[in-house]
Amino acid sequence: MKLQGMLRGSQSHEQPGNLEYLWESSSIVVACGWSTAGELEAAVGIDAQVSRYERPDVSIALGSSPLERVGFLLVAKSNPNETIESLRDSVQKGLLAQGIGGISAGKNHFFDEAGIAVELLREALESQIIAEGQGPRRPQLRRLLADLFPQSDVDPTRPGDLWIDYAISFEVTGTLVIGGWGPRDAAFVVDGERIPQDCVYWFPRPDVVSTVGSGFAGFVAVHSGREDSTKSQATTFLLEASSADTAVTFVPERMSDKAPVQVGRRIFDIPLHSRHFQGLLDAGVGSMLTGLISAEGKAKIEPGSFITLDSAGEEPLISVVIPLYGRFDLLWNQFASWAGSTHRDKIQLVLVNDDPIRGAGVLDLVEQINSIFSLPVTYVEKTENTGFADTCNTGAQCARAPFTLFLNSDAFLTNPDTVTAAVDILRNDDSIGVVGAVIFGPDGQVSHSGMDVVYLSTRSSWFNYHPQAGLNQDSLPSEQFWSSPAVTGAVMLVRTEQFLDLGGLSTDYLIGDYEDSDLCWKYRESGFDIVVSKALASVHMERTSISLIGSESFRERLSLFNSWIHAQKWSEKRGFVKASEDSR
Amino acid sequence: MKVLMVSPHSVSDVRGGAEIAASRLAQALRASQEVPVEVIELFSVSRDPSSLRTVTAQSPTEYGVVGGQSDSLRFISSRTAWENRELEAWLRDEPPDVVHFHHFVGVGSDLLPLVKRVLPNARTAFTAHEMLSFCGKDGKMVKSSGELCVQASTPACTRCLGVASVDVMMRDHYFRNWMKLPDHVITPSQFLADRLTSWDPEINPIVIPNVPPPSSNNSDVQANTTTTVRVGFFGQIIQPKGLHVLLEAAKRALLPEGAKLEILIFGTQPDPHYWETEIEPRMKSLKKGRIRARYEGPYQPADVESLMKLVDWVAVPSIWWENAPTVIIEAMKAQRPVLVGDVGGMREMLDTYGGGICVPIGSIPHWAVALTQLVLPGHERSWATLTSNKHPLPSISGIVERHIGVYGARL
Repeated sequence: MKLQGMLRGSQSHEQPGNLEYLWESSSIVVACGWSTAGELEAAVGIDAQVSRYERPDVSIALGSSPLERVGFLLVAKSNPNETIESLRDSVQKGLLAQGIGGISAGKNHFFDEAGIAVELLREALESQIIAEGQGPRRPQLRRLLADLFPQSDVDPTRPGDLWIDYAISFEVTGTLVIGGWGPRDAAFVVDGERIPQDCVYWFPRPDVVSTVGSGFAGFVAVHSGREDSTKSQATTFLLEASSADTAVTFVPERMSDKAPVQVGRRIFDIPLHSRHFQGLLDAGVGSMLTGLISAEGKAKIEPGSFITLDSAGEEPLISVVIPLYGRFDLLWNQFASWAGSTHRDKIQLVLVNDDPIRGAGVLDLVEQINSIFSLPVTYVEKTENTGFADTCNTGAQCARAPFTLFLNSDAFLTNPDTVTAAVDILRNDDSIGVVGAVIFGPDGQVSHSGMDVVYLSTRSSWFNYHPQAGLNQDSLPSEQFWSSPAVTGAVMLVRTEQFLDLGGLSTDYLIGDYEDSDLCWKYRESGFDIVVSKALASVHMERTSISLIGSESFRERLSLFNSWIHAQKWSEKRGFVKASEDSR
Repeated sequence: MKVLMVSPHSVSDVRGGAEIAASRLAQALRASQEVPVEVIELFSVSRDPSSLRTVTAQSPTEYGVVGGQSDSLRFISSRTAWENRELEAWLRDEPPDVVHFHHFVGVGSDLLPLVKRVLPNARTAFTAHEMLSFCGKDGKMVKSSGELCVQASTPACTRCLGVASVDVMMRDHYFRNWMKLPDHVITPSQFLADRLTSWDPEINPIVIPNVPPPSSNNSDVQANTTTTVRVGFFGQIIQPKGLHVLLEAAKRALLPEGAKLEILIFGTQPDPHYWETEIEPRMKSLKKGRIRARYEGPYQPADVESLMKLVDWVAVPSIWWENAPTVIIEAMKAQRPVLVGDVGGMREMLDTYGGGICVPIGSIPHWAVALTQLVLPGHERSWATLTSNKHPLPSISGIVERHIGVYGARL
C-alpha cells in the first residue's frame, strides 16, 4: 500500500520515475517528482535547471539507498517566442520520454517575472511537495531552494515551526484530516474555525525532534463538517503556540467520500504507527468512517441477479450460504465436497457473488460446475461489492431452508454428513442461537474452537482471540459441543428466520471482520447461548482471498478499525469482559 | 458386460503409457473367452470448430469427447455446461456397466464425478499411471532441482511449483475427494500403490499389471557374438524419459579395441524443444566413430517386438520413478534384457521378473560404465544369463480375469 501510495499517478510500476506536481506561471514551468535516471537535464531535452534531492520514501520502496537523490525539481523558463503551454508540453513530453509520467495538468499561477520561481517553489514546498512524509526534510529543501536561486531571500537554515505532511479534504462530509508536526500541544485554527482539542491527536515524532529540536511532536487534526469544502481550493491552517503563531496556506488533497472502502484505503495509508492509530480514530476519523459505512446503501437483489440453477425436489433442510470473492475456482472444491454427502438433497447452496467486477463470468463457471454435480443452487450476483456481512445477509434472504450454514468459500466441512447433528443442537435447545465450528488449518492443527475478547494494550484495543489456535486436536474439550463467548463466521449455523429477525450480521464494519463476534454478542444480548460443535468440524484454507483486499499494512489498519467499532459497540455492555473471563 | 474404457488420448495420436495400457486392456477384454465383454473406448479430442457435437464417433468402438483444460490446478476440462449436458445424454443413451478411467488428463477430472452422478449403478475403476493426484510437477515426483521427491507436502510443493500455498492446498483437497469417487483404484505397480497410500491411507489400491503385448514366436534368443552391440531406446522422446542421459553416457563410454556401440532410437518427438536442445546436439557428436547414435523414427505398438529384436539391449534411462513402464514388459516379451534406472517402478519390475540391470538413476558416469560393460569381451554370456533367468511374465488372460473380477465385484 505504501508503495502504491507513493507511486500514485504512475503509469506503470516499472517506470523509472513519476511526475507528482507541475506548475506554470506566465513564463516558468516547475515540475517535481522522482526519477531513477541519472542525468535528467540532458535527458529531458530542454533547457531546464534541475536539482536533485533525497526521497527516502521512494528509495525505500524501490529498494535502493535512502540517501540516493531520486527526487527532482525542474525549473524551465520559456523563450520569448515560446508560449507557456508549449513549454509545459515540452517538459511533460521530455519527462515522459524518460518514463516519468504521472499527472497531466498542473495549477496555474500568475506572478510577476521577478521571484516567480521562488514563490512557486516556496508554495510548492510549503503545501504539497512535502506530502509523503517529507516534513522533516524541510531544511534540506530550503537549502535546495537557496542553491537553485542564490539571489532569493530563502534562508536555508531557518527551522520550521509547523509542517503539514498531508491534508485530505473529504467532499461530502466536509471533513478535513491534517497531519504533520508542530510545537506539542499547540492549538489549530482552520479557515478561522478552531479545532477542538479532542479532535487533535498528538504523538511522538523522534524524526522531527532530531531534525528541529525538542518540544515538537506529530499530530493528526480532524476538522469536521466544514460548510462547503468545494468552494475554496486553498485552506489556511493557523497554529497558535506559545512561541509564535504560524500560518500555512495549502491545498488539501481532495477525495470523494462516497465509498467508505476507498476512504478507508486512503485513511489507513496515513503514515502513522499502529499504536497511534486508535488516536486517529478517536480524534474523529473513526466516527466519520462509521458514518459513511452506515450511510452506504445495502445491496439490493435486483431482477435477473437471482438465479436458481437446479431446484431441490423437496424443501431443503439447510441453506449453505457461500460468499464469493476473488477465488471462484474454489467452487470446484465446494461442489465436490457437498456432492459426496448423503445429505446432498437436503441442502440448498446459495452462492452470493460479492465481486461483480472480477466475477463477471462466474455464472458460466457455476453452470459448468453444476452440470457435473447437479446440486440445488441459488446464485445471486450483486451489482457492487458491499462486504462480507451484507453478502451473508443477502444470502440468508435467499435461503429457503429453516437453517442456514454460513460457509467461507475456502472452508470445507470434514464430513458434510454430520451437518445434521449440528442442526439437531438447534432443534433440541431453543436457548442456543448459534452453532460454530471446530476449525482446523491445513496442517491439521486447531485454528478455531470459539472466540474470546482480549485487551491488547500495545494497540489500545479489544481483539478477538482464538484460545486454542495452534494446538492439536487433543486439546479440545471431550464434549461434542460447548459454550463460547463468540464463534467465527467462517463456518456458522443459525436458524434462518431468527437470524433475519435479529437483523443479520452487522454492516457497521468495513469489508469484513468482527461482524461474526458482533452477531454473537447480539444473540447473547437477546438471551441466546453460543456453542462450538465438533459436528461442524472443518478445514479452513484461511486467507485465500485476503491478499486481494489490500496490503498487509492496510489489512492491519482495517482490523484495528473494525476492532475499534466492535469495542465502541460492545465493551460497555454487561458481560463483555465477564464472558471473556469466564471462558478462560 | 459393457465397459467404457476412458483414456487421455487415442493411442494412435499419443503413445503414452496410459493410452497403450488402456488400448491393450480393451483389446484383451474383447478377446476374452471367459465373459463376453463389449468395450467402447473414449478419449479426448480437440474441439472441432466445424462440429457442434461434444462426443463424436471415431470408429464403431471408439469415441472422442471434447477435452481441453479450463482449470490447470485440478485438470478440469474446458467443456461448457451445454457440452456436459450432451455428454450426459450420450452416457445415458447406452449406459455401460463399467467405466474404467486411465488417468484424468485429456478428458478432464470432471468426467468421473459426472459419470458417478449420471450412472450411479455403473461400477467405476481408475488406473493410476503416475502420481499426478498428489504431485503438481507432472505427477513425476521430481523436484524442480531434478532431485527425486519422496513426500508431497504443502511447504515443499509450494516451493517446488512456485505457486501460492493455497493452490497446493486446494489441489490436494480436490484430489483427496476425487480419489474417493472410483469404486476401485488400480495401480500397475506396488510402488505406485505404496505411494498412493502413503499420501492418503484411505485409498486401498489393487495392484494389477498392465496388459503386456501379445505373445509371438520367441525362437530368436541367440546372443549377438559380434563386436558391435546395439542398445535401443523406445518410447516418447521427452525429458523425463532420460534419453539425454543415455546419449551423454554413450559419449563417455570407453570401448575396448575393436568394439562398437550403436544407440538406436525409436519413438515420437512430442517436445521439439527437448529434441533440439538436449538430443540433436548429442546425436551430432555420435555420428561417426565406434560409438554411434541413430534416430529410427516413430513406430506402431504392434511393431515393437520386431523392432526390439533389432537391438541387443533395451535401455530405459528415465530420470523419474516410473510406474510400470510398458517398454520393460515389451522388451521382456521380445527376449531382450534391459538397462533401467534403479528406483520406483523400474526397479520393481526387475525385482519381480528379472531380465536386466539396474543403473543409478540419472547418473551419467554409471550409465557410461554400464554401456561399456555391454561390449566387454564375454558380454554375450551376461546377455544369455539375463534372457534365460527370468520369472514368468503376467499372462494376458490372468490380467483380464482380474479386471473382470474387479468390474464384477459388488461393493
